[in-house]
Amino acid sequence: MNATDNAPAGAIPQGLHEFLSLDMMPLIAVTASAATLALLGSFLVLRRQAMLGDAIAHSVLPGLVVAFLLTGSRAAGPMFLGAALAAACSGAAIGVITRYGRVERSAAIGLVYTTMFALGVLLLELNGGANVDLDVDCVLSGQLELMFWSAPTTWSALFAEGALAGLPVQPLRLLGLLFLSCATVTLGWPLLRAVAFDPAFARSRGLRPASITAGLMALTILAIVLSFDAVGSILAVALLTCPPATARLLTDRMRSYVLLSVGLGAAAGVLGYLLATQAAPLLLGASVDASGTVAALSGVGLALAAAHTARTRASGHAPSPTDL
Amino acid sequence: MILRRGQDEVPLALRSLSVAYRGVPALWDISWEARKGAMTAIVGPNGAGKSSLLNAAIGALQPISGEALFWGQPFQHARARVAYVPQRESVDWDFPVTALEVVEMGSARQLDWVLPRWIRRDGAHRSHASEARACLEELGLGAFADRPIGQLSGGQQQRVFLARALAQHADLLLLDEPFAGVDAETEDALFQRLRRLCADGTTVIAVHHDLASARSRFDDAMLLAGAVIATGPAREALSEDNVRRAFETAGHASHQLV
Repeated sequence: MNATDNAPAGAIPQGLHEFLSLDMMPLIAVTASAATLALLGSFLVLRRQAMLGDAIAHSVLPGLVVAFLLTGSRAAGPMFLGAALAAACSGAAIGVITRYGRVERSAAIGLVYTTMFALGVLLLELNGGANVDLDVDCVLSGQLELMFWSAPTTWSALFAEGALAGLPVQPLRLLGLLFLSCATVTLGWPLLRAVAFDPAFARSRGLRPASITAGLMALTILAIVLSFDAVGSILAVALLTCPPATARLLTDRMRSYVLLSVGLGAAAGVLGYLLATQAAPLLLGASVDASGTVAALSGVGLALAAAHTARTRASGHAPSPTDL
Repeated sequence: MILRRGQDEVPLALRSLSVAYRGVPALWDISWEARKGAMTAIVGPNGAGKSSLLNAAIGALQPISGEALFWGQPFQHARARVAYVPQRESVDWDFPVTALEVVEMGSARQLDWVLPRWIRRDGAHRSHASEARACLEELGLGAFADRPIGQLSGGQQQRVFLARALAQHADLLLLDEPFAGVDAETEDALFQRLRRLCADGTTVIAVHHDLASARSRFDDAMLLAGAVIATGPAREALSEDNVRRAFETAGHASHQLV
């Protein structure tokens, strides 16, 4: 008798079982959240509002903390409401400061979102002792390690009814959000393009650019809120802006821009996770926070694309209006 | 409301229209009627409210009093017959969109906005794409249809905008500085195209920055400086006297052109 015969018939190999239990759900969460944020972020970058994504991601924090303190849970509904309310407050504050403070809009945005974020951190610190469930660390970098799944050990159990009932809910929620965002963008494609390109014209055609922008913004806030578990708030910003900015440098067709952006986001998610959990233990002796590697990778991608573009432009390959 | 006789023949009628922008009044008590089939230039010093006038007419700015009526109706009931071309600065010309895709925004009708073309099997999208292509070709941009707009020159970009307006098959064109950044030759071609539209009964109202060509090429003019200084046939409305008065009203010391 050798070692393998000790296992019951139809057992899932140990390596695969380990992957299913420890890595599969976090990997899904990181990838789905990265792809969703990159997709929605691509519309922010198109309208040159990347700063706004940054501002939203930071300023929703006090809303999240208050919602958590009031309900005592991290249920998505109240968290989203809190975040949306905080975002709305920030938007109003930015408007008021721009109008009456006589400063430029970007200065007002910078002022408001840092204040809101600081307020959130302060609230967290003040209540940190009482709540192990929400702390600064998890807000900054997510809690992927909590997404384990006690996977069945045999194939038959894996495919049996109810085997998937124990799956952690956050990754599934993120998958649902990815699906919802993709469907929205696909169905509303001509509309979203027209509204992003020429809002004044879109308005004259009766397309309501303000409502459409607000809807997209609500979806973005939802994505940021749901991504907190997966990648944390700082990371949400990196994924909202880096993959779209990279894609923008590489193409000037809208379809390939958005697809590339989603692809780059997903790739940063997968590679970043593998780097943190598989490569880091070999290189550093311990695994590192996946959210950090994911964000760093998307930043490196942007730097590479920028270097590539700069070189192409310098050698005169890029078409310019004067070529015509 | 009791319509005046023949009101549904007037493409655009402004009735005591006043507009304030961020609390500062921009237009006072504008009353004016556009002539069907005519080309009207809206002329005035910087800050005279030319763009605000168009924006208030199409409801992008809420007037503080008065109204704008298109064929006797408010804009939301007439928008299918009106093509609006915004100022070129209002658009990001680096946007990743091709010339053809921009013009297709003009030919798009209802369902075209919310359903991607591969979902639809009724062939409607094919006709709207070929229509858009025809409009581009008419303005001499057929070869540039699939170019991203960022690769086009300023004049070509303006022609794309005008092609989009043509694709709307509108009865009234509202153009905000349509000849900005356009070379003389292109301007000539565009004017000829607009002329032919007018001959077919289309009405053109354009914010225009050049006094000389406003006098020579347009039928009518409205001289603005917050309030209406003069209206009527272009040469008369834009007389030296009137223009000087407009600049004085607007508080410009020098009499240089906008």
